[in-house]
Amino acid sequence: MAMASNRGVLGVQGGGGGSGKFKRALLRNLILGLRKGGVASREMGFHERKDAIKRAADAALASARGAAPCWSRSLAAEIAQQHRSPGPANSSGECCKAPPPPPSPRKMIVCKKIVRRSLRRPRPGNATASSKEYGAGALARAMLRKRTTVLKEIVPGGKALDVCTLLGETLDYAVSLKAQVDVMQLLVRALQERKHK
Amino acid sequence: MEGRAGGGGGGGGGDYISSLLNSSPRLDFGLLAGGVPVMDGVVAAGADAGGDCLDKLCGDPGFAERAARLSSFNGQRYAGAAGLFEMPPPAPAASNGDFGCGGVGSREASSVSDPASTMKDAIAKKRKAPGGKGKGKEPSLSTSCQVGEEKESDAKRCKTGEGEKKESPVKPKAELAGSDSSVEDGVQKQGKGKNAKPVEPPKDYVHVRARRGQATDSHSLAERVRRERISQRMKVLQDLVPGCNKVIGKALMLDEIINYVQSLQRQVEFLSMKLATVNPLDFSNLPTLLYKDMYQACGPSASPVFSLESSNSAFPFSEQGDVFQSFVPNTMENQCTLNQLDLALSQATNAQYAFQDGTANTNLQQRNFWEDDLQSVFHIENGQSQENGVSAPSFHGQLQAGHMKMEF
Repeated sequence: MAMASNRGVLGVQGGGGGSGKFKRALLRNLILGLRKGGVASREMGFHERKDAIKRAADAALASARGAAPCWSRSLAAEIAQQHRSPGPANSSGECCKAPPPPPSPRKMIVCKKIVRRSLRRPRPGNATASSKEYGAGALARAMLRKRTTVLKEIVPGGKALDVCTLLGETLDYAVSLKAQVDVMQLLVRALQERKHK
Repeated sequence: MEGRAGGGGGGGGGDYISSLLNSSPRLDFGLLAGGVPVMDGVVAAGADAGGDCLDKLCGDPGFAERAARLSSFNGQRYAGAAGLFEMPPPAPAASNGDFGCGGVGSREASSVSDPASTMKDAIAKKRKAPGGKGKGKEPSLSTSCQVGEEKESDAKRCKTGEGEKKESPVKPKAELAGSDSSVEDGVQKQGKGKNAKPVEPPKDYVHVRARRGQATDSHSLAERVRRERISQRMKVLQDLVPGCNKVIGKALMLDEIINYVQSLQRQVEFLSMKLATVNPLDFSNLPTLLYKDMYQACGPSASPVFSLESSNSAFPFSEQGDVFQSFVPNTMENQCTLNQLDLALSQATNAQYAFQDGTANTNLQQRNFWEDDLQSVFHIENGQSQENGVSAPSFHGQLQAGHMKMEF
């Protein structure tokens, strides 16, 4: 697999971590974000700097990915929310709008009704839904259920998704994370190389 | 026993079809109101191998529907998904199988939500219009992705056909024995290597063919579609996540996937910590250094390419606030910096891949992240410095970083 030989100088194909174009966008966003975050200043403590860098990296990832997948929107919302109620170290000069407002109480009531109604009506063909049996099938299903719960917590914004879309989001998220890791490794390498010269 | 053909294969090519039907009487279609594409697919399957036609017939629809679904993902991509993940140019001359399989992996998710939602609507509406609706699924399927999908479908045909049949007794939830299938099938991508049939403009319905001996009520069909969709995505995930190939079973695969994503997140944390320790973190020296190193190895970057990208990377987060809009403005200084970083990225990534080709497997690298990261960084820096004729970096700095990692 001669991956390196096929590529031109700028035609970076990221392989398992997303395309070269995506990585370039990530790197660009990351650098800009790090600059904006005031990371270069000397006054920051180690932990603050680490958190600022991580937030900048996540923001870069979410904005480079765009609004298409669900996780990137949720991630962006999380960052915006964190920024709104800032920690002790607040970067000056950045204003941000409110995160998307939570659904109004009336809507929530309606949503709950619908959910409850759908849960109450027993789905035909799913006779074993209510009975708690300890058969092999139920055990397998419980295992799957447990793991999907964990996955929902890991993937940002996964809690509101059904299993099918969750898997698709996981796929996209995994690829993007890999690209982010690669870009950050590159940056670290570049900076360390510079330091040792 | 003559094969019953619902409708007798009306439409274009009816004579050919009826002749083929007469010649292979063992086929038992058991369906009504099939359109022309159905007949084509069935007939082609029958014509190819007279032996286990029935198996192929049964294997076909679930698979064809999957193929159509995959192509619908592709179609959505063409229809203008964000497309930040590049794809190899979809020339039919290129390896279409890979395009079908590999392209799906990275790009599928960008259009996942749309097909999912339209499919849900389609399932709900399926019963209401049984007759004469269009054959096909999602809008804007292009012929090139058809070709890709057919080849992919050929490659996986037998395996998934059998897999499907095994799966049905295992999942006893919704399958009742007995009734004949009566659902029309509008999926077109049947037939081994059959290429030329153009896709009719697809409507937004999901046409599912229930297999022989399975329940045909809408719930079980919907469930089956859902289950197939899930298993299809699990397959794609299996290809993506290293180490998932050895594992069989949904639960274990999910375990691996969870581990992978968690390890990636931990890597990000670790790298951000590493970046935090680089002191001083100044960006002014960065471009000059990289430029000096990389300029010898490779030519100057194509600045129009990069400026195009920077203008293209729109941030559609208008509702998320100005945190993202602050990324947009680009001064000249930024441009130069990023051009050189671009060079660095390409150079280092090439070197990285050259290195990774030599490593045992990526799985190991993921697991033993700490030691391998250290080694890889050291090796790559060595390699690069040898290329550039600069002295190797001292190991002590690396060692200190290693110590810090251990505490972390």
